[in-house]
Amino acid sequence: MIRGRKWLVAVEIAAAIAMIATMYITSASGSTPAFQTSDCSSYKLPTGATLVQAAASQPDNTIQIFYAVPGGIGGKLVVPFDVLAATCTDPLVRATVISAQEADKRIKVGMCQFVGDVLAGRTQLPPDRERYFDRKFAEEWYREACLGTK
Amino acid sequence: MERVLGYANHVAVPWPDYNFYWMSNRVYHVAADRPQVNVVSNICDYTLQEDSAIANTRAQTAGTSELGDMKSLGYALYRYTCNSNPDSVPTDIFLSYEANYPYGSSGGFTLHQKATADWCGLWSTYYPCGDHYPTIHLNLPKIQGESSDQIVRLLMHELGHATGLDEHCTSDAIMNNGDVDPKTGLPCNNKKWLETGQWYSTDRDGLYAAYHPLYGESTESWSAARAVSSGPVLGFYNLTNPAVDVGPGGRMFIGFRNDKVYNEQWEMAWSDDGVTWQRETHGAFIETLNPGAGMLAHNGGVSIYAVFSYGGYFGYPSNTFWIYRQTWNGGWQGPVLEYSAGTSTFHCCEGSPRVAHSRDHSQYAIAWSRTVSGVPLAEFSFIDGTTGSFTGGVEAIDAFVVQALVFDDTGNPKVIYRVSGAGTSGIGGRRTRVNGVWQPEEQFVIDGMTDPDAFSLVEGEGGYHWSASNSTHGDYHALQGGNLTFTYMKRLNGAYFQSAVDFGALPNPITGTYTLHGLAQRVYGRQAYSVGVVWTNDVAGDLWFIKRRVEGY
Repeated sequence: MIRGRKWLVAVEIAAAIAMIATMYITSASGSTPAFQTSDCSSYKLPTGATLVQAAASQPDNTIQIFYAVPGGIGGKLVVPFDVLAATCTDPLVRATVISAQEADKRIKVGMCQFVGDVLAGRTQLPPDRERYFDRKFAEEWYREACLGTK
Repeated sequence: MERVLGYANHVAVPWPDYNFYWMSNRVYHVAADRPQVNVVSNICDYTLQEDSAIANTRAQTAGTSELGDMKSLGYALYRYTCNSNPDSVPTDIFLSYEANYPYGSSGGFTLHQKATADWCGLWSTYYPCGDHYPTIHLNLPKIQGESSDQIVRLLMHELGHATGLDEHCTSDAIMNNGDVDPKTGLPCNNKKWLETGQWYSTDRDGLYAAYHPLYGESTESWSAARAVSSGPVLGFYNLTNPAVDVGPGGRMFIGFRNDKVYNEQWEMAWSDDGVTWQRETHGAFIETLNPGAGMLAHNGGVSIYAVFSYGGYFGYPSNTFWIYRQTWNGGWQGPVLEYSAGTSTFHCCEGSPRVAHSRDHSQYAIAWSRTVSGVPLAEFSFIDGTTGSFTGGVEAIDAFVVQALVFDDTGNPKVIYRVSGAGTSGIGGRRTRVNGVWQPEEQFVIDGMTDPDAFSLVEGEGGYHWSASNSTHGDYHALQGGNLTFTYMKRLNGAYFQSAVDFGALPNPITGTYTLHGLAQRVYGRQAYSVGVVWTNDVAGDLWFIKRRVEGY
């Protein structure tokens, strides 16, 4: 009897988390990012440069773009993370900025989905990860960041 | 303030700003259950090529000398799943095969995405902690026309970028790129793309460098906080080194002996942030006569292990030898007798019990020595990490006095003792327990203090005021007390460094006159710090919690 009640409560909590997480994702994905502010047109790669890799950091407001140039050793272009991608005139820079900003947005929304799924038991972590997952931190973070409650 | 870290060539984006927490020194490298790096794909069309790229990368990095302390598993990639949303599973690398590829004519483009502090916290570590996950964007129309070998080569190259490596064209490398220079008509390194389709030494050097900042170019900082002060009901016992340890959840404990209560009982203070400390007013072992006790932080809290001797004082003849445990798990539990011996006449105790845990807190142990008919006998037991009780039976090791107990690089318990000499001169010995068997004695020279175990050996002897950390991966450090300017020794990647640290000149300085200090201990994961405790005598006696943090780990 007690086990049955506990199970029922767990299902109710999981359903509530799923519903609220869905609401959050819908809301977040429909909003316009507020961080894209500055002009990007001055950020250009050298003529003929090809992309090697990039590293984006929203907290540091940087997108480091590593490139190669014909006959040269390549280099690095650092673009502010918060540039308005539409103002980038270099197509490779624009593609990278769009990709970095979209990934950042997707990852932040995805964190709520992922953590909610783990807490609700819908996603099972592999054993090598389970021991590192801080459930207490996750529950508090989820309540504050995804449900908007403390 | 921007941190300046130095790395070897071949590294574009080093840890800890990018790359993988699971590959870093915050995670115990030699643990068999160390997490792998999960590769997730958006489609399942190239699983064979992904499997080959992953298997090749693992085989060509694991067990290689260039990887140093990372070599046990190497670049431990694992194909986790395909046809999946990377945010629904524990993704470390996302392979995104894209029909509309906007990144030029290349086959692939890796984009790192630095994790937030929240993401780090979810995985029990601190910011920065590498990538949330890098995405390897793959040019689907291009690779659809290429051979399987070409795709494997491309994946291996991009997986190199995903762990921070840069392009490399001056010698054979998996990081040779596949582009042909339009001016010269030659590809990178003048080699055909497939000819260099493997990890070379230079790639492995780069992999190691991506996770190891060069000494002198990393930043390290010391901090201190007053933890406990003496007063009407508290006075620090003048013979006993204070103890310090950190539990698997990050709670910090300082153990000390109160001279203001009957028979100088052991007490404890604890903190979760290293700044605000709470003293437990009800101490352990009301009747203890042994100034030496071991303190061990474990899953259930903290335990103090002390030797009692019936009818006698520490070091005096007695007919019984008892080790009692008292555990704090939010409050002190009653004393528990863990071990007794003594059907024959023997001297009581040689030194005090030494306790230790492995770096990942998967193992706990205790070792001590007692004398039987005038001959010392070293004994050992594992400890249950939940209860603090002895487990697995007591093992006799040999005839010596245990001075230190540590878990070595591979997680094996090791006892350290003196063979000859005195002070910082002479010969030390160590015995390591491997697969349940105590291995033969290894001897080492104490003079010069170049063997990490030498510091552990002299620590318990007094007068030298050395405190040593556990030596893991050949990297250790030690503090020698002296007023408030300490001599600080460390060995990092096989090289020795010595410097001075003035605790009286910290932003929150230690005040008073130095008296003693306790074991400095390395802690990883949530607290990637070294911690210790310093006792000063000013108007009142104070215990100071000290912490050293190195950026880049």
